[in-house]
Amino acid sequence: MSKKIIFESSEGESFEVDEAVALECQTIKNMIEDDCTDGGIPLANVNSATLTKVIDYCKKHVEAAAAAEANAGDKDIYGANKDIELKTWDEEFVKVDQPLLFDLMLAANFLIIPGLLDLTCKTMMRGKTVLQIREIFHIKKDYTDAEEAEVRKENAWAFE
Amino acid sequence: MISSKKMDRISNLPEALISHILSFLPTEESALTSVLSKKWRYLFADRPNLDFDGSVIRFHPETCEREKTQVLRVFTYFVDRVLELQGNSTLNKFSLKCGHGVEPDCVTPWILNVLARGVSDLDLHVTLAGLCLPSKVFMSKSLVTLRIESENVIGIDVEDVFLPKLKTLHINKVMLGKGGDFFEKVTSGCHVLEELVLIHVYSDFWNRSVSSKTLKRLILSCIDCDKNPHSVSFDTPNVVYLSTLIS
Repeated sequence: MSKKIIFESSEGESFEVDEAVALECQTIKNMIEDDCTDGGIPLANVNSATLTKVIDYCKKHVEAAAAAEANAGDKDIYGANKDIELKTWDEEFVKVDQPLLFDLMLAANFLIIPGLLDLTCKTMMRGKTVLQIREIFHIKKDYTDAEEAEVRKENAWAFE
Repeated sequence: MISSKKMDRISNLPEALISHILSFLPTEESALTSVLSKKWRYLFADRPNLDFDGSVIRFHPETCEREKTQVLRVFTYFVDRVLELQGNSTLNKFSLKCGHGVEPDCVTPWILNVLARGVSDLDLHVTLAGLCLPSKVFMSKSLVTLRIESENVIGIDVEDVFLPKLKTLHINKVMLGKGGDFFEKVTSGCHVLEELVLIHVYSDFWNRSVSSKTLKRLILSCIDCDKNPHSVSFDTPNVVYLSTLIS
């Protein structure tokens, strides 16, 4: 039986996962190597909803990596892995509301899960106008009109 | 609770994380965020990948030449400025598309800039009359992927080839001056080359041989070669995909 690791969310809820799944997080990997995981790992800045998703992501990617290894010979002539299914899964995975996406990104950054960090970062602003970005993220303008005109001039190519 | 929902969480992130988010947007799109607030003014330029598209396709067919020149000057200014903001920071990918109207004299310094910064993926789609790309594109310790493409034909004088990390080389519609022994130069100068695609490459390398143990994919296509034909012999034991179209 594989070793289990216990995470504790900010609400104090416990989540038991296989060690292999926890190893997807570089931060946890370091802790496991240093033998400091006994009695569970408290994640004071990750809530239960986010942690559930993070664990889903890590599980899926551990399974996918195992499957890819089993089918290592099964590559097309261009040598590309048939990872389209996983990419589709990833795309579905990040179809969540903005606050949860943001929390997932923070968790991925803190736990050091590069794949999840890139996935959430990539999704964060994709397909949004600057106006939408300003609204969604509540970013206040602190430029004067003259300063803003200057910035627009600097990057005129992008604004035209 | 309501007030926390209205909080600007994203501007309070570490700058490196904001830049990481922006790096997934095309360069031009990310530059639009400079207008959000003072904090965002230069963050978009801190990215390991750059893509610039100044190809004339975006012009309305009725745009007059003078207007085009003016617009392309704005393009040149933008590329210059972003490269200046980046200084000597590490760059992984540089992709440049530009067509007629961009000053050829501007393009060469851009390419030399990114080569000097150790770019690993260089993608040039340039169609400029009178442009001869610097032969230094074939001298880089960092390049892993190199694509050079044009709509008409641009030239490169190939002096020496030394691309010890290069795995993929695509050349399309390029005249390789001094490139008579191009195959030999490429195979001896690119020790780990896996993919070689030469389409409409003008050079007198036909009737020569390609010899490489690392090549896996090889595509040679030359239509309308006037002074040739044309046989190429292959000593490439590991090729799994080979396509030649020589007519």
